[in-house]
Amino acid sequence: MIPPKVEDRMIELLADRAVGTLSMDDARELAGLLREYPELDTDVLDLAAAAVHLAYEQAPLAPLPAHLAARVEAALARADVGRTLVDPGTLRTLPIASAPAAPPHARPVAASVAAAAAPWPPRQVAKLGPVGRARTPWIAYAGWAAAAALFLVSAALFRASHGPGIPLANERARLMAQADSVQTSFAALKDEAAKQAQGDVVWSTREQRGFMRFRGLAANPHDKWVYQLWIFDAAQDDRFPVDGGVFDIEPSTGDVLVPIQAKIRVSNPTQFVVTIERPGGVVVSKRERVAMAGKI
Amino acid sequence: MPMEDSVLARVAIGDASAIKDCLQRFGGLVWALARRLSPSTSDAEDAVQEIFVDVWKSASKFDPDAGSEATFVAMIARRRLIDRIRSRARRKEDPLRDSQDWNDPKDDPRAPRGELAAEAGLAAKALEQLRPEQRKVLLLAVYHGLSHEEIAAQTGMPLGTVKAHARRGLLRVREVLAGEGGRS
Repeated sequence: MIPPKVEDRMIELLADRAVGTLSMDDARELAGLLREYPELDTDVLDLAAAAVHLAYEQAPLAPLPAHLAARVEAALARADVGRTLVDPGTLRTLPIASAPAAPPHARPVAASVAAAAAPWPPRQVAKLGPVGRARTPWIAYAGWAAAAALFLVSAALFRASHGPGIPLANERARLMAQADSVQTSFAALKDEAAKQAQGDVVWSTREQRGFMRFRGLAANPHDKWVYQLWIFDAAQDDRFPVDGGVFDIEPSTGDVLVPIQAKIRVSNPTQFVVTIERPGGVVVSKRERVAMAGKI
Repeated sequence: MPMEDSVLARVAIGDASAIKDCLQRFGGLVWALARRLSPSTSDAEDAVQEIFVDVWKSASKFDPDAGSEATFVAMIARRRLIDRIRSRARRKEDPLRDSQDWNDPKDDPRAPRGELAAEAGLAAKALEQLRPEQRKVLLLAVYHGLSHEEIAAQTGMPLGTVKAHARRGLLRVREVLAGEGGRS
């Protein structure tokens, strides 16, 4: 809980940042406060300012000059961020077993030959982006929303985990071989969705990435509920586990690998818990439906 | 927007074909923002390149519940442009900024035209609900990029009042947008 006076100050600083008037001293103060209170959503006022800007941007937009578009395109292609570019055509035609560059919402790794030959449904490719997060009306406590720098790291890791030629199964095996990685089995709890489920998890604190593996976990109706991972960290209050990402399970008889997408740094994981939440996931789980859990 | 049409979702997975689509869909927006908040055309071009690299790195953070893709890209662009302004410490002598007409008729926000209509319509609606002085301050601060001190000098408002209008105005915009279903 952020003390009201501190929250007011943070909002003031975030508003100054959103309109570009944050002084260096204030920027340092804000950084310190955000380290102390990372639960405050730092994007909301920046988004509001962006929306205001769009509202005033009334002139018809000139297209990007051709020379500049070419320059940007080249920069993206040669920059580090371009190294993990995926040719969607390749994604669609590679057998799943040999190229399980699967979506984070659990594309089966061990799939049938027929399934492997089938093209990726467009919907699944399109859903690879982050699943929307529930927000409270304005300055939502996004619980564990990543600070910008941390986010850039996680975004890069997210892309890396889906790059070409880095099958998820291989990545999982590589992580398991890391000296610092932790592993545990998931225990199925009483929820109906997990009654026939098995699973395990591997996590590398050094790389801040990991994978869950499931078999028999029920496919979820996307429009009704989703699975969400929570990572309990010894460095954090157990009331506020780290959001490990929202994911879907598609109908499958084989193993399903799900990359973990921790929203903030996990220092010392003690438990991984999968809950069932409303579509888009939640900021704070009421833990009303807990599917699986694994203690380190 | 159907997820199939989400350029940012494709960017997030490193879909190479998304580069052209991303530039086509958001190039005009980013170019307009960069020209408005940069002191020269060459500086704006450098900014555009940096912004799209930022977009590429941050695409997986896009939250469709928090706003549209255009708003997200505009947020990334503004952050980069503000960083560049601060790093140059040129606020006072910025020739582009000094040439602006601060009594721009855009003081009265209208639903925007063209490709931004869908994204910015709600924001325009939110702005209409602000007090005139709050709207004026946001226009000068957000769109024209004036500092609080410059706004105080332009409008005759006390500095503290300018800060309060900016903060409360943004919060109010956010509230209205959230009330419209969380879309901005």
